[in-house]
Amino acid sequence: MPLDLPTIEALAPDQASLTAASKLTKASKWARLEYLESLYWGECQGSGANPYRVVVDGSDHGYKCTCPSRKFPCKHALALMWMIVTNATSFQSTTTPEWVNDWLSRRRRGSVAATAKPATNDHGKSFTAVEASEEPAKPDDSKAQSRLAAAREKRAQETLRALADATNELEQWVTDQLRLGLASLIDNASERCRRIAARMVDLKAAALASRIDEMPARLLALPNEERAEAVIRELGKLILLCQAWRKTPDEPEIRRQMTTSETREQIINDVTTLTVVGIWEVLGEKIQTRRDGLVSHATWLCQVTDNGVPAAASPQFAVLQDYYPASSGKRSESFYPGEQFAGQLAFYPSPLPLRALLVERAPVEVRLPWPVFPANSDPLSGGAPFWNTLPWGLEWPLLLPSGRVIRCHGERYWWLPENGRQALPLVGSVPTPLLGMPLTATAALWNGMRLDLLAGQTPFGRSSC
Amino acid sequence: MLKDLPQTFATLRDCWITGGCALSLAPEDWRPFLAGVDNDTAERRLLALAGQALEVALRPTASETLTPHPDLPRLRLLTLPDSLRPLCRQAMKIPNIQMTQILRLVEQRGFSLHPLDWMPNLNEEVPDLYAPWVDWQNGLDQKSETLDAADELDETTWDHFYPAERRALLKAMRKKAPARARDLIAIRASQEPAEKRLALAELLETGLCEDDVAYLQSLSSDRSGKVKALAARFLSRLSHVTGDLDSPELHEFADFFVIETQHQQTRVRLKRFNSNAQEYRCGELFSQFTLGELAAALNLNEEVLVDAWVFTKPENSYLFATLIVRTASDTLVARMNQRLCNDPPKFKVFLPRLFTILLPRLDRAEQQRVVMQLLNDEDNDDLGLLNLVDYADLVDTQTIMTSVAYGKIKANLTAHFAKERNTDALLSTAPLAMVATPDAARAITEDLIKTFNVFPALPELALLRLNYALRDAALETSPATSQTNSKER
Repeated sequence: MPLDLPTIEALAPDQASLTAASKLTKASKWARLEYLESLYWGECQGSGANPYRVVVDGSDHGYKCTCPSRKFPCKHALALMWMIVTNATSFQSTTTPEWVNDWLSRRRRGSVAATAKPATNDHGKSFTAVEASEEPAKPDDSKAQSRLAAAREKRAQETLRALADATNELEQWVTDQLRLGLASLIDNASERCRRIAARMVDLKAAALASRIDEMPARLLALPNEERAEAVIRELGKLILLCQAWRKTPDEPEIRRQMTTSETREQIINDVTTLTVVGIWEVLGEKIQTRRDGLVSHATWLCQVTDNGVPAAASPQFAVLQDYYPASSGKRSESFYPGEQFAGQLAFYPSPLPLRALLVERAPVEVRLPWPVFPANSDPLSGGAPFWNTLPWGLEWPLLLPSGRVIRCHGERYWWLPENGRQALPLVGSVPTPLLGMPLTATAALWNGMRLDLLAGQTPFGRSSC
Repeated sequence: MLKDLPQTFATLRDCWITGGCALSLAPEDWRPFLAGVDNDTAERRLLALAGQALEVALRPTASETLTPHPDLPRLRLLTLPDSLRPLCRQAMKIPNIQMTQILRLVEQRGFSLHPLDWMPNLNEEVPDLYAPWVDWQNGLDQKSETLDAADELDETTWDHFYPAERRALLKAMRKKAPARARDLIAIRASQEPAEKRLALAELLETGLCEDDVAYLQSLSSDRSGKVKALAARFLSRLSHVTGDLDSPELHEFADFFVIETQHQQTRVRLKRFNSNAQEYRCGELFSQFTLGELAAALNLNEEVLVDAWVFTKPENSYLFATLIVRTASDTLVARMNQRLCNDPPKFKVFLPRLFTILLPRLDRAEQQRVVMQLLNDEDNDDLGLLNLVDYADLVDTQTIMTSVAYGKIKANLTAHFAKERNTDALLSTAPLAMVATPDAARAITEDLIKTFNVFPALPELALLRLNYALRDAALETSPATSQTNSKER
């Protein structure tokens, strides 16, 4: 997918970033500017003691910068992209340094650059290199192999025991909250959730810990009168998740909710992984900085076909979920809302595959229409498989039928279907013009209480919400 | 049980809110799931069941009737293509460029803005194209009645349109069928209060012609002083003097002027004021009378008066230019403009403001004359006026690239970039985008990129890029029509 100026403009998070980037597009601002095939990297002196290291993959627009900016892409990445397009002669062809190889190995795209040999004249050590140097030499005898297997088994058993303790402790905590009163939990949500989340971390339930840690933010985003209902849902889902884990601790979907996700390599190399090739539209992105300092970057996709009919036996939606430290700005791929691309997605194993990894990506010439919503159906019918199969889920994507957004008193917003039957309240507000636009189709996330609009088809064209 | 679910849930919630065991409140249907385990486990199961019931069986209901807002009207021009929306948003953020000028440029290239990129504020003066959106905004909070669809404005369909759209339609009608529009205005104005009557009468400015004289004369006896003054002004523009030429105030006004003859040329100027009060009074009288009345009081022909005015003290010249714009015919306004362009006054520094005063009354050819004058004036450094012109495509590539103004801009940029790389300085080129043809805008952009080694996607160049990108998009949309409309002349 070639990098060009309109793409860079679309990728820029805001005008200020572009303006700031424009001031860094002079070669003299960069300590080094190098490339190898589609891979470009450079070092830009910022306000920190060390220059920021920026790398951009021109083939798929992936990038990484070591600056602490919370804008993605940051001005350094934008400036480097800019220079790739307009001033490519500033880059010198060379081999990739260690830190670029490090980024490539984490991406594992299998691109030509990724297979490049590490440079002999490296410009600094990478974390991988440090880790590698500390790893003991791998034993090649069978005794050592069995020792390793035993150690792995022991670790797995320890994790299982820790998770069992985590579920017990969490359930006891929920019981305590019911006894003490949910009003008190709502008032002290931040402190109480932080405490039990810390215990979950101790007991190796990292994903569960993050979920609990973010619960206060979800509650505070709601009006007062809805918080009690929301906390009952949240705690009820935690109980369901604990029960589900006890029943099937090895189920990948449940394990992912409890501890950590599979690595990209595990998913890609697993022959049982569901892979789907198709045309995908970027519905929208949700970027949140979590309390633990990680940025959660979700890119929601919808599969589109030339006749508007969903592909048979294929997930209609997908979410590319990235987590990266706010300070590092790690990001594997870049998209802009409304973009359509031909892509192969590898789905994480689940009874209802949704989270996916992007394996291949290529541009498309012709835009395809959204899937058509079945007429006269319940707008939430698309959610039924989710709440039946994964009842602990916090949100799921929906494609809604014709409808429109309505503003009520108190600046509350609702989505009303054309048939006027089941209106659904919205998260936050919408731009005023959207109130006057019939939405022939709407993509949104439903969290059980409110809709979070992603995009809509309007008489004025596709509109990001 | 499902029927009682909201009540059941409310009871459970109230119990848990304050704290306590809710098992005794569990519905009968749920009890089998709670049996055989200790109380704590049963309580948690009850919680999970309640949460799931909320999720699956209970749906949110609005506490009030949800009334859809009226549809945002589609405009008569195509919405800007998605590919151009980011560039347009960039251009909209360029400082010192009026939004109305960007709207005009987009409109003249055959597009309208996307409503999620820009919407007029309530009661904002915007191009007629966007009048339906103004009405929509104004009607948004009124939950007003849906208007019957009507294609054409006439007396019977008058109430089928909202005010801003009606004004736009009347203006359009004044261009195509001025007499029909005037008759409609006359009928409706007679039923309206003074303020609305004035607003309607103001629409006669579009296509003002001799045929309007009879109606304007009828307005001279209107109850409203403002309507009377407007009628007098319009009549004056049609060279009909209506006021009392013997009024003491008109004589007082004429007494402020000095008429001299030098080398057989008549020269008119204001006397030196003896006090601030005198100067203030003179200013007041300028706003009360018309050019025709003043000329008559001075025993001069209107054309002679325009030609004889001496541009000395700038404030006085501004007053005189304002009098001309307010009350002189199109021919006389153009005459004044030609005088300023062909034989500029000695104090050129005041020229831009004089042009600014005249500009709203100038047609395309005269505005082009002003633009050429500004671009080639060695003494002028102010191109802000280019942001006020009403017509795009006034200057072609050759003219703009060889203009004095562009040469000065490039010299200033060269000096600037020699000192620092801050690209904000490129903003000085933005006004050129408002008058350049698409080819000229592209030539400027490419020249700047090449000369100063700057990057094409710089936000500072967004307006120039938008200029030709709009033409390119129009060609893609409708090659036949756009080609004839926007090829460089």
